[in-house]
Amino acid sequence: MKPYHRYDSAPDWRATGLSMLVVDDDEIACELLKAGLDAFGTYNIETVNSAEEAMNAIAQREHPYDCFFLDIEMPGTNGIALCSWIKSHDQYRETPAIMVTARSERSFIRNAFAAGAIDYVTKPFDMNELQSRMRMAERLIIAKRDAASGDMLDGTGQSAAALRMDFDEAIAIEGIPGVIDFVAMKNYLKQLSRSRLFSTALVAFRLDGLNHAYGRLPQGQFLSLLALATRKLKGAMRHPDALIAYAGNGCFIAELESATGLDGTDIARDASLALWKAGFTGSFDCSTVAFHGGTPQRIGVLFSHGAVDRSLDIAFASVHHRTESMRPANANARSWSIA
Amino acid sequence: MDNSQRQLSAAIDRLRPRYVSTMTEYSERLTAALDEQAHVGPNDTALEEIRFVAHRLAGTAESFGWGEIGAHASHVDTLMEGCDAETCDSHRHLTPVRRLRDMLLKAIRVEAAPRRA
Repeated sequence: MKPYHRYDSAPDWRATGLSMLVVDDDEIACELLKAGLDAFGTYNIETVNSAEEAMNAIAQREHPYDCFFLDIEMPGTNGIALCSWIKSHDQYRETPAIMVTARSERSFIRNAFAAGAIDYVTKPFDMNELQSRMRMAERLIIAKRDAASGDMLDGTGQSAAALRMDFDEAIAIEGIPGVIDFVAMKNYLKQLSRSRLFSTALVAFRLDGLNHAYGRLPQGQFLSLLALATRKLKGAMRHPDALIAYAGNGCFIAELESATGLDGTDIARDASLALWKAGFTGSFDCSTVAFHGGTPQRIGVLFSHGAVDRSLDIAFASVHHRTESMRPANANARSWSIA
Repeated sequence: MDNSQRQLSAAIDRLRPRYVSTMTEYSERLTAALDEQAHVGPNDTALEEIRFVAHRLAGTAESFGWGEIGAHASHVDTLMEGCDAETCDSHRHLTPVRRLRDMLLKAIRVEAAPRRA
């Protein structure tokens, strides 16, 4: 049971006419990036040289931008704060924001993804790398457009896109600090790899019984339950720098700089207890679900994208292995089968 | 070279003269900041100016073919982070800045020299 994301294996196509805003206080860097993007596709690219100019451009724009490239280090409001500001607007919650910087320290990378960036490009620009990032952003944009076409809201305010979600699909859970999209998590890990950063620890969790909630609850309530569970899992991590993503199939992946003192079983138990204690206001008894934690996977040097995927596979396999040997472990000791 | 690479190269060639004048401006700003450090003594404004220039060069020089300048600017950028008037050590912090300024001046001279056919 390997989690997947609906954008992972999108067909190779090219989008045209996408509108982008490039924000960088260095005019030459703006021009270089624009030239690079122009070489790859037919885009409508605007450039501005400060976060304040970007906010004005966004506020005055009639049709929303499709994508943002944001320099991190700018005088005044920096790119990370600008990213958070952009993401605070409903119409831009799912719009890809790609951070641009000459810095490759872990704190910069982490803060960028935690602010809602979907990817990270380092200066000087490697045009092949830029092209691959742009292709990924295109796929996200078009998937978002497809989902939004004929957008209808149900009684809980969920969009048509949300209504079409499958249980095994990665879902972006918004509004919880340190919780990021699964695609962003993979890109974050790959960026750590490119920057030759060591000592990253991954631990996977599975919320056993969530598939029953998926089957019984309206999508809006299911998403509320998922958000509640994610909040409790993040709280149980007891580490402000932990990043978490929901990968689908009831599975979560958490990333920390160090595996020292990290115990997936303890965290899972605390998260389950917190979830049961909180209760769920919807028509589902949340004491019938329980977290299980895998063995923390310490990752050294990750030199290839394949290594990131392999590490995620190992982390997920670990939680599935543990779950099989520990079941049943939920609140009222009932056995659940996982789809 | 495919069409997108040709397009990109053409854009970089178009920007190049502008970048060379920016490099000239950066070398002057580094010289002024170094002079200020030498004559007035360590001060945060001049150090911040050095870091600003190094950061800019680190992000763009390689794209125009000056990879060595970009790499050294990146080193200076990292070195200057956390360096202030109190902690600034002339040899450790400012020698690499002088080298960066000299690399810029050399690149500008080479760029200005008439090219042989």
